[in-house]
Amino acid sequence: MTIAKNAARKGLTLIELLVTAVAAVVVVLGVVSVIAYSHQGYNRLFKRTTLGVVPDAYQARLWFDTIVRRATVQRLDVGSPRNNGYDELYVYYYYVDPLTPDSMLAQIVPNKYARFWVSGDNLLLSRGDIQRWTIELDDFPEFAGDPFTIVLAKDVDVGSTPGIFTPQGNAVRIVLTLDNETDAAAGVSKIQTLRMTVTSTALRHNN
Amino acid sequence: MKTGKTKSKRRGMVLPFVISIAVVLAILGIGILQLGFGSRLVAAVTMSGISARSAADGGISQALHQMTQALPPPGSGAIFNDSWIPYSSGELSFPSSNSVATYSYEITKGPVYAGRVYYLITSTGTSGRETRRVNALTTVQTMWFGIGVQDTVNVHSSPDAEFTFLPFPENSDDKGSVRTNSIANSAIWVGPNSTIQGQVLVGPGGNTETGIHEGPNSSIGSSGVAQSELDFPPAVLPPAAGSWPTWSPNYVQLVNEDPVAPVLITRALIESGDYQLPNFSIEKDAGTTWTEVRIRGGVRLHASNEVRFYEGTKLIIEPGSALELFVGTDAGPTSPLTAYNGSEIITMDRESWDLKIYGLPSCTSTGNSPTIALHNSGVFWGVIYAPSANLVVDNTADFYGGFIGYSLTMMNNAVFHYDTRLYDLQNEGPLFFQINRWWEEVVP
Repeated sequence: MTIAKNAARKGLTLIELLVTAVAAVVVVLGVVSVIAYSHQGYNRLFKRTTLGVVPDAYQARLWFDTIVRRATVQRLDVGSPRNNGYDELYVYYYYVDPLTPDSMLAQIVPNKYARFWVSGDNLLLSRGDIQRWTIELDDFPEFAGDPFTIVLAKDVDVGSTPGIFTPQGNAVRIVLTLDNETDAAAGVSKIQTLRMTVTSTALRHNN
Repeated sequence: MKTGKTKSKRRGMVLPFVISIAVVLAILGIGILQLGFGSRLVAAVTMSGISARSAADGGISQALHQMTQALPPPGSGAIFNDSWIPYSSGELSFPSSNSVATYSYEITKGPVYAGRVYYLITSTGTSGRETRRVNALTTVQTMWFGIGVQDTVNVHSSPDAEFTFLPFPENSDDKGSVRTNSIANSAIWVGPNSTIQGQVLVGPGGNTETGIHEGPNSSIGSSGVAQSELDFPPAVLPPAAGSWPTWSPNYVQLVNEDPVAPVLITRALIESGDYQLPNFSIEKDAGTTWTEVRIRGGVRLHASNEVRFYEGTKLIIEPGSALELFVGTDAGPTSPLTAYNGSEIITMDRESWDLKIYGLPSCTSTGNSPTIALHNSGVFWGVIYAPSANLVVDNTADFYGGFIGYSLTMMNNAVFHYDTRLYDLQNEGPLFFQINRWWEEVVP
């Protein structure tokens, strides 16, 4: 009879409830832990790709490529040698405004310089005017006024790594290692730190 | 009547529970996907930018190659002018597994500055949504810039070697260049006590510290790395050279007026025209043949086998005259062109371009013999374009002019005087294009 059957199913047994509860707890804990770890991973990825060394390395490479590619092949100077490389690089280029073929030709010698250099653990870029140009090896161009300096990257590893710049013919190679992880300050979360190396080679194109 | 199967009145919890979890996971997944998408987007933009830039660079190279191919071949006698420039455009796609990039370029006539015509190459590279534009201003340059070789310049015959590379006239601002395509160690070997006043360039990608060896007490004006490799197109015979008549010598015997040491001179004259012969020799025995050859007017001469200027003989280019000498080697002698001790090859106008020697592709040498040799105490005024030849200038010989070839060896106290006036020959002889200005643009 139907009524009798329904009456027999009025409640759950204690065992059923316990099993259900345990299963639910397990599932909830699993989901929560997945969410927590995913959130942590998201934060790590987000911070590493938008803060700190990653954007610094990207910007440094971009500046390096842009400036060195327009530099003259007539001369290049390096300084601050370290482990078969150099931490200081001078390149020279033409700058005219407005930029037209005629104005470029009218500028007969390079009139701007760019200096990539390391101060502490910062990679800096200084740009300024050339007052007197020379290609003589035992001479050095004279610069005018104060250069305009910006910080390209922080946390440059100047330890055991090779010097940042290596001239190779008309090309210049950059191997830049940024590290805010190894000696991170106390209290700084690991998810905000990273050690990475960016490399690039740019060819000087101008005469 | 009720059936035995009735609908349960209990509300289910499973569905809301599952939906809640699904929503949470979906939100989480979307966040991660967004982050991944952003990172991939940055990577794709960066890669596309680099691909587009490389494509634009490739367009410049292709345009330069096309322009170089259009230059008149050395020896052809053709004079360069604007009509040789392939004012054209081209494009190319080069898909790879990771990107598809294209370039297109255009060659146009650019400004005229300081008397030189410049040509503007504009190359646009595209990859994905990124576009880069590179511009290069080029001008045609003569290869008579001094010494240009494919391989080596050696000045190391002995510890006492004294090689000097000087401009002529000596007060010229232009000091000339010594340039090689090679990037090998010591490709340019500057021996002890040697001087090169001009610029010394190793090949693209080379290193001046390893590519140039400077001996004790030597000095060079400046050193650097060449912007691009020099092309060495083979020299060619002018059209119709095969039908040039054979030279028939017409010579007279003279005695010079030196009262102390009168010398019998047998002088042959080559007057305006085109000639050929297997062997072009100036012999030292005045009793039997000529010891001096004079060139009068414009002369072109094809010596298909060998050229010999024996001891003390003279080849003289008279004022207002010029000689183009084409040297090949039918039989493959060890030294196709040799000027022996004390021989003089001179232009009376003291203009080195009055004598142009073109080494044809067969103008090579076997073994260690020099292809072209200027022996002890000789004097040479002229320019040599011989891409397969090695030139040896022996002790105390003086060379005035320019040399383009495979390699060069200078011996003790030999002096190479680069004729700086050659640089003004913009439209004739071997030429190449040089990039003078270069700039790039990011196309929005």
